Amino acid sequence: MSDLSPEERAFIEAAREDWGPSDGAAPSPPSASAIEKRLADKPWLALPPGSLASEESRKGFGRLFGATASAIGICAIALVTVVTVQRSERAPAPAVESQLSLAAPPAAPVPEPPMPHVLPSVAVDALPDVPPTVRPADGPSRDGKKARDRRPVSDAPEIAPRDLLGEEIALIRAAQGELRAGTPDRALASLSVHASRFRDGVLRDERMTLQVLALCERGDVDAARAVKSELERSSPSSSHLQRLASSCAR
Amino acid sequence: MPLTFEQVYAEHYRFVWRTLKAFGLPSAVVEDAVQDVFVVVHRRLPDFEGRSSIRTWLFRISRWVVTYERRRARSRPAHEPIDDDVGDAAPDPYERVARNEGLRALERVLLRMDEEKRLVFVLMDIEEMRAHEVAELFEINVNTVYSRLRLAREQFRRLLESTNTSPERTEP
Repeated sequence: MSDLSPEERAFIEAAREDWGPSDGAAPSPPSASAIEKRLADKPWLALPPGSLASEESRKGFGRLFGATASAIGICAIALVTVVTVQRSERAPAPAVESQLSLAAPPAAPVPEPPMPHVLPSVAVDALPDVPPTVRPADGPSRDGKKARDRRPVSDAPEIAPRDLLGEEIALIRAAQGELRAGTPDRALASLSVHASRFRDGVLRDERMTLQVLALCERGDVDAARAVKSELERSSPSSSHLQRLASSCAR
Repeated sequence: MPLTFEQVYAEHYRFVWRTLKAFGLPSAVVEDAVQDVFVVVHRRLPDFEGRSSIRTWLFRISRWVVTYERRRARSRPAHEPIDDDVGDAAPDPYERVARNEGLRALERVLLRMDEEKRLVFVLMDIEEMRAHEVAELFEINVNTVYSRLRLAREQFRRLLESTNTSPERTEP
């Protein structure tokens, strides 16, 4: 170990005391509204930490998988060509029919049960906000900077999370619209899809809030309270809880 | 007793700030990045189970934010430098961080260090983290941590001497 000299030690100890933010102390913690605004400006902050690493590893795996699949594909084509040539040399026979018969018949569409009509009674203001959709590439943003400043280095690494977030937003927006339209069952169906696809997604809190409101709308107070309790347990500081203060689950 | 967001913010704001500086973020963006880290903390604190130390957890979030920040920085036009502090040896009364010559020298030296060594140096010699904590953060063994610390101290010493004799010199 390279020990520090007394002078270096004194230098570092002085730095330990003084080195930090310019005002010397932590400023006041940001308010909930400031945090919400920052999240709206930088939605990637809502992604689970580590998603980047897993994304990187997925990319690496994807490249490896792609190369392997390409190699296998080339080998398969070569093998099929050789076999076909050999067969055609011996006794040419049509094999297309047998291959076609392996394909499963298309599944018949399942008729959707009719939804009961329920009059809307949820106030529009009670519905949770959905993060804004991605802005146009060169349009001005809220802070005056061009949106391209927020573009990723290359398009490829950001496609997956942005698409996933887009899917999440679409499902939550759909549920919100269905709730506004007074069809809580349909809203719950959309939210159920979200829950199955994005159990711990970025918009989990929004989903649970809408679930509470939809269950209230349907008159299922016990279930609404159960979901609200879960939200309180998993996100005790969630700003959505305030919105539920006037719901049936309060 | 679970930690509150306000507690974590008050007690670890400086640790996060220093960690982000140790990653080489320039002063111009470090305050903003600190706020980004605490937005993540605000959302994720209920999930923090205390299986690792709070500083280990904050370091991981900081590293995640830095990775995104670097991607954004790479996509910016060339006239926006990633680090505007490097090579700036002139006294600047408006420099927010360097409040005196000693701190300015420290920042100059840190910015010239290799990132790997700088992180270990800041975490162990300034933040006084234990070797096993640092080993866990970087997923390396404790012997490697001590080896990096030794190299980091040697580099720090060389750079500090060169800064004292000639502020314009850079690490060979």
